[in-house]
Amino acid sequence: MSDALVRIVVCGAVDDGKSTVLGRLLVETNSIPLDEIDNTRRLSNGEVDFSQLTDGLESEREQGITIDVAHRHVYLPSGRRAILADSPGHEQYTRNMAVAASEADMGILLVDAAKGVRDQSVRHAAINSLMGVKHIVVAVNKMDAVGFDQAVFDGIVDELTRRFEPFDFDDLTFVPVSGLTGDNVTRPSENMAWSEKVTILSILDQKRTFVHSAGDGTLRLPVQFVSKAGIVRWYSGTIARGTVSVGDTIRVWPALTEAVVMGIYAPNEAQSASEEQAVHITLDREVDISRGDVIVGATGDVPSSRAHLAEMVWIDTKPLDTQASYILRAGPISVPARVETVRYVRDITTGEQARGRALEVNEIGRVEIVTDRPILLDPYSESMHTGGFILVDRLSAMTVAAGMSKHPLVRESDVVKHDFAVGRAEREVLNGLRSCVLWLTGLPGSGKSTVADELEKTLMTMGIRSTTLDGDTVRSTLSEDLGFSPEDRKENVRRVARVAELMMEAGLVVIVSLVSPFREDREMAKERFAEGDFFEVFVDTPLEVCMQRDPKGLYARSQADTSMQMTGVGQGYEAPIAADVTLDGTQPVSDSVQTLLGLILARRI
Amino acid sequence: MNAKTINDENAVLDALEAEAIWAIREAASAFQNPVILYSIGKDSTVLLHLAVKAFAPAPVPFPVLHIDTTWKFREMIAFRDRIARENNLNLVVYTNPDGRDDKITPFTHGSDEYTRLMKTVALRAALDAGGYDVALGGARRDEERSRAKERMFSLREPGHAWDPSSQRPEFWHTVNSTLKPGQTMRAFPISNWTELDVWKYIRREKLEVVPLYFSAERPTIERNGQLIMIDDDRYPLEPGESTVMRRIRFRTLGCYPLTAADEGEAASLDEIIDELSRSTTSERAGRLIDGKGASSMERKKHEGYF
Repeated sequence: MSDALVRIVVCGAVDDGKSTVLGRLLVETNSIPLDEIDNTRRLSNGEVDFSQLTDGLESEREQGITIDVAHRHVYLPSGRRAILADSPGHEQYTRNMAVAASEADMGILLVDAAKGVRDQSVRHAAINSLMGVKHIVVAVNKMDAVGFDQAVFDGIVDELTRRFEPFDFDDLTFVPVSGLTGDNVTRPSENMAWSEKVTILSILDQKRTFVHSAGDGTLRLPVQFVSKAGIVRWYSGTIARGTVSVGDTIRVWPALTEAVVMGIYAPNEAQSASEEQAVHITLDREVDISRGDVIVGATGDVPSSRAHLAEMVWIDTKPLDTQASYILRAGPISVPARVETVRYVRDITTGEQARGRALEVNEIGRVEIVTDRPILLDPYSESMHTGGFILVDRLSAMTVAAGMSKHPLVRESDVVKHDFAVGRAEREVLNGLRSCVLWLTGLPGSGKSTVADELEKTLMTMGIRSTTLDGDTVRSTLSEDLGFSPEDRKENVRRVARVAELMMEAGLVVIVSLVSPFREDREMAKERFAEGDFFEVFVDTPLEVCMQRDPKGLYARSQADTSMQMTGVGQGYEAPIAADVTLDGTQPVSDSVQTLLGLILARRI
Repeated sequence: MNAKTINDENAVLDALEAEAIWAIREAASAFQNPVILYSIGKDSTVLLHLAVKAFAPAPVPFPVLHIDTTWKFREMIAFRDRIARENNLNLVVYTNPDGRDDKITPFTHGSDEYTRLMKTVALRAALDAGGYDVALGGARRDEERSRAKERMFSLREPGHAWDPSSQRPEFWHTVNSTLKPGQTMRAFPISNWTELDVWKYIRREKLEVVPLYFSAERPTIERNGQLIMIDDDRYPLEPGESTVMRRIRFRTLGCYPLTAADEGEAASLDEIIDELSRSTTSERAGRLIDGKGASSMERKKHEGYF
């Protein structure tokens, strides 16, 4: 994407001096006409009141606060352009801040040096992280009020570095400034000889590469409009991700019909076009395409489902109603939707998760959203414009939530959607039991396979259909191409989770016996499933005991061969923090089997 | 100016163009009955060109509406009619019939009341008459500080009133186009353009604009320190007052009695761009109706002003 036009969200708690810093930035870069500046001079002393430049609404000037986002252009010394979105600091206007963050390439977060870090600063950082703003400049403002003291600045840097740890930023830069005196806004500070010679302006000017998403970049072109000129059909839209060239084979979601691109206008005739360009394309054959369909690359996964797991910011004063039908919109896609489950509501300043309640205004939660028909939603982290969606209330017609997809969920209803008469639900009735996945994790030698084997024997005698996906078996079949690096282990987990999903759909009790040493990978596996279908079972056996048992002689071998990436020896094992079930691996196997059996029998229909 | 800067400039225009085309297409496809508000000025010229580009080779699939206050510069009206003819546009011209019958003028009724009746009320009536649910306009955020707060898709309550506190949040490329009965939408595809961007784009795309933007000898009078061009004999001169030929140009075009001229020498696009790059005054400084009170634009917008 072109970096000539940079979009920046300016945020921070109320009274941290955003409007003043931004006003000064505008004035000192000659980005604002003189008569407009003169209009904001104080009657009392003729000094410019910088905040008046951006608080454009009467109610804002009356109350002395920013309510809505103001967009102002700043001309950078390099000739590039920044559009700064001055966003409100009050918690009640958090939604407006989220809007500004949703379109930003970069964030400037103001913190008041005198007042120190406030929850709202952390909240704004969290929203930036959630919205995919990867580059953050923290301007520690009002340094003049603390005597330009380096210790104050360092204290804030330390605290924020720690509190921002959970967030997904690519870079985090701190700069001490004073909006009032102008130190380090556009001019290097003379009052803070100790600070590095960087200003907010120099940071903006020098930053040239902006990351938004980590996807594989295969094409996503949501179709906005279909027109006909003569006998030729033109498909119009803005490329959300990837590139398209004349001669490319593409597929058209939802049918995934293939066709070849014959012509591109972007908007002038072109051989290819890329992200954020508004294009028309023509195809080599007549394909039934209408608004809301998505033109995608010839290869690669298309995450289309009726159910998706998502992070959601609730922005309406009326709380979420899990019984209500909303309209979900994602670009040109529009479909009735329901939020079926709120997995948890997260306090974004502390990271604490609350379960079992609805989302209220300005809260963020993880939800399962179900639509009337399957929709294409990419993971937001891979494609912002096809991974983000809004919910619209049918009665008020207001936008009530903004969501960011994590990934599609597999549901029995998805199987039904293909017009198969028999789905998971029917198979479960046949089995008299709701199927599920028991994911056994633990060190090599902890006893996972033994537990799995004993459990299956018991299930067999009870007439309950089950299967085991064992690490060793998988390694020699499904994942024979993979090694033991963290990346390969992650892929192995992904594959096993997918197969477990299919087997669960088939109505089986699926027992997975896999070291799966990384928390993140197991979490990814768990997230594929609806609440209650997946149990993370930790087979907790101390390393010494495992090494002593060493049923496959792996520990002995790894001691002889240090190049082996052996879990527990060369590679760490991240024990679950909150496993659904923890089995004591030093106790008799029959105890473990009884525990798991109880879980399974509770699912009888 | 080095090559790097020129490239960046083009890249900025490309990005702004793509964003505007997205918004125009969205207005055309997510709503039932769109219309373009055409005011004949430079911003409208750009908007119209973008609309043509957004749908070419198919024609622009909606009409173009001009609110004629009857006090526009004659050159503007001639330009409007020619552009509509040459581009095969479906041009709809609307004048407030009561205002015309009552002979409302800025002189007899004051500029505020005149603007309200001939622009705001006229626009509301024209939109109602056409049953348009979305009206695309060429307003820009850098024009005025209350406009800096505008959405790209801005909701109007029944009666076309703008309520800044109930505006819909805009996330990504997703527009909430659901309207309750009586609600309509205004769409501003060139929200993020500056005045300079508009001129640079006009130059790059070789667009024709009303000649009044270029400096020429024109008949003028000076009132309250501002230069007014006397476009016809309807303008009531004070006793002893007579027109003086001056080299003037306009930075913004509206109703001639309410639009002050600049003494600028710029007579070509290059010169306009050069002059503007060095200018320290705001674009709408010449709009006589804007200056009345710190929030006068915002108040007019509350009433449904464009």
